[in-house]
Amino acid sequence: MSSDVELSVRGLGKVYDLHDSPWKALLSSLFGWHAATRKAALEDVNLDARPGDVIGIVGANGAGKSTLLEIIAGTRTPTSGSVTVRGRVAALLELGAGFNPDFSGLENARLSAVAYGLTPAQFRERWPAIVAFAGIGDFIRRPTREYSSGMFARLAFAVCAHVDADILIIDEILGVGDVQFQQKSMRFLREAAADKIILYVSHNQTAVTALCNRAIWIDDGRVVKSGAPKAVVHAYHRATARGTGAAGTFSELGDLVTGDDAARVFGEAGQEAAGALPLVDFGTADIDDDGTLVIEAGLAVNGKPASSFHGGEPVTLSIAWTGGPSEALVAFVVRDPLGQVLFYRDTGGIEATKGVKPAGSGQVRFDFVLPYLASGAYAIDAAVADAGTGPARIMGRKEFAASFQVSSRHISAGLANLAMRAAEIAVVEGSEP
Amino acid sequence: MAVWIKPLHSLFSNRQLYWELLVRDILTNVRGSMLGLAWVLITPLVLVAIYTFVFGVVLKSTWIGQTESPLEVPLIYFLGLVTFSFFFEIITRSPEFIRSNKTYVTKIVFPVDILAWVVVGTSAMKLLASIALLAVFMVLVMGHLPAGLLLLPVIYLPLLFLCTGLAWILNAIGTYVRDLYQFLLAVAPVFMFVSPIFYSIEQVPSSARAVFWFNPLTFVLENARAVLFFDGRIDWTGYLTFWAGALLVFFAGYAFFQKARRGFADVI
Repeated sequence: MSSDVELSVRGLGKVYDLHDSPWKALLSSLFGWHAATRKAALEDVNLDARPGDVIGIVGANGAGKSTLLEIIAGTRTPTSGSVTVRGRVAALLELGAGFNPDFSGLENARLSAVAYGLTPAQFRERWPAIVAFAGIGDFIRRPTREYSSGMFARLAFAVCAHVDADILIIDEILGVGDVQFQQKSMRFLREAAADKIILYVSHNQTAVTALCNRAIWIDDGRVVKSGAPKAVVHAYHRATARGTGAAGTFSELGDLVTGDDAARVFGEAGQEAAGALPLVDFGTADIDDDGTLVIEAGLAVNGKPASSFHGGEPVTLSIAWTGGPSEALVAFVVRDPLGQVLFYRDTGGIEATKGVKPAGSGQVRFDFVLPYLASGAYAIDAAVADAGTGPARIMGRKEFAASFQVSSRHISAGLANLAMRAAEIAVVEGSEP
Repeated sequence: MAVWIKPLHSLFSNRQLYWELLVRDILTNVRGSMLGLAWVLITPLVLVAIYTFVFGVVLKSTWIGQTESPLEVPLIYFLGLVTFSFFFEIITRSPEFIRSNKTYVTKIVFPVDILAWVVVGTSAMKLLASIALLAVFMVLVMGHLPAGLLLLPVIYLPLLFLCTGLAWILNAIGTYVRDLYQFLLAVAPVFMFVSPIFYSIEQVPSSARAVFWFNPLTFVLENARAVLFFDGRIDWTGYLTFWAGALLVFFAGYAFFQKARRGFADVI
């Protein structure tokens, strides 16, 4: 039955025309005109899916996720490209779409099921199963305006679960309902996944990694990354945690973040532009990680391992690796509890490390004075890059290579603290009290 | 698929959904009220009572003396008014109808074109209820059912198609241009007085009469009145012309709607 089911998206683009008058909007629909101001929502999106594919879609608000889903569902018209859909689509773009609060759960469920393509006879046949799935008891015969939002979601999802869709499109709707129901719907999706195509948009990254077998990250209308859910979610998570997740910021740095240009981090250009460039790239660069490179890192004070500081003390960070490139470049960042990068440093610009190019494995020691940080937990990510001929390439990195605690003895607000020595107030003579 | 079969095919292939939506639409207004569906009859009943009093008792009317019983006169007005409110309801509901059902447009894969049929269907059901009521009163007043009652469906059928075509056009424009609804609310009462509801087309000066025939209600009102109350017959030449015009509006409306609907999701 499902062997013919197919979803293919080719070069899909959507540009919204921002018309200054509704008449112009109408005329442009009739004659295919375009407005002077246009806003691209999707650009060149490609996607192929076969039964069994559960594709997670992540991205910031306004990135174009919903537009993509609505075009695939057929409720929105694309500007360019094509969507080929074979199979019955059930789009859960909004839970309880079309539910009328004055009508009972049964009545709303019936209309909803028929709208999804069931015949009334099929609906009657499945009704007991829907009731059981929803599990809202006698409320099923009460007007839905009396429902809690959780009950509403349960019923709406229960209907969608029983409409025999080949392609399920789910847009951020399973966040409602209690834990038990969420697990139930997750279990349903997992069981249903075998012979269906499921597109799943969620901000719940755990759910995406748990449910999906593929994922795409959309930012500013483009597919930034696609592949294994864990890697995609990870990349997205890092981008947002760094606070640069907003579409605007990203598009400015877009080519740095996404492409092979990541090498610039460790290249000469990166060194000269010390500051912003390396910080952005450290976490999200694509890496050729074949698993042979192993990185270890540790912190010490006066030669003794330590993980708790006050700030201001001399600290030694050692990073050791095996299975690395013949000419290695070693870098690290320190992140605060929110994932923001506080410091970045690598061996590239440090005189003493010049010419020292240990083959395969080695160890680097960074001796530095720990700044006066605010109290909290901090993490150190370490990376090793190939500094051989050509632009440097990151070979591997280890997040949370080391972590440490700071209990500050200084009081001030912000990311770091001042080691205030003294403060003086002088009274200017002659001033009125 | 041939172009002329498309709009009907869409309705046919979605007939079960259409039926659900129609029932839902009819019930929506009365749901939660204590009398429920009875309101569909109560509203026209009150109308009959008022018109019987005003036009049968207070005012001297056009048709007094032409009918067997003076009590028939209010029923003539009633027929005109329910016909007008059928039309009025369709043109005032259509502009907002897509917007008020926007979840169907944006959130479900949905045959949006059947929404116009829903508007027309709801009004047609109310018209049917009113005409059934009219038949009951005619039996009470005249003692028998006029044979012309059987001709009413014939007369109203082209109007149904015409109104569906109009509903599509208004659906489409109203979804983009929100002023249309307000505009129609303002001009619809005017329309009531330029339709031969309270008077006959014969009373209109012959110079203006030609314009009146462009009003789609004129043909229906004149002919329905003739067959029901005056043992008249349908003007068959006019009937064919009316059909031609109705089908023109129907297909043009559908084509217009199909073009315009592509942008619906982007504007609501």
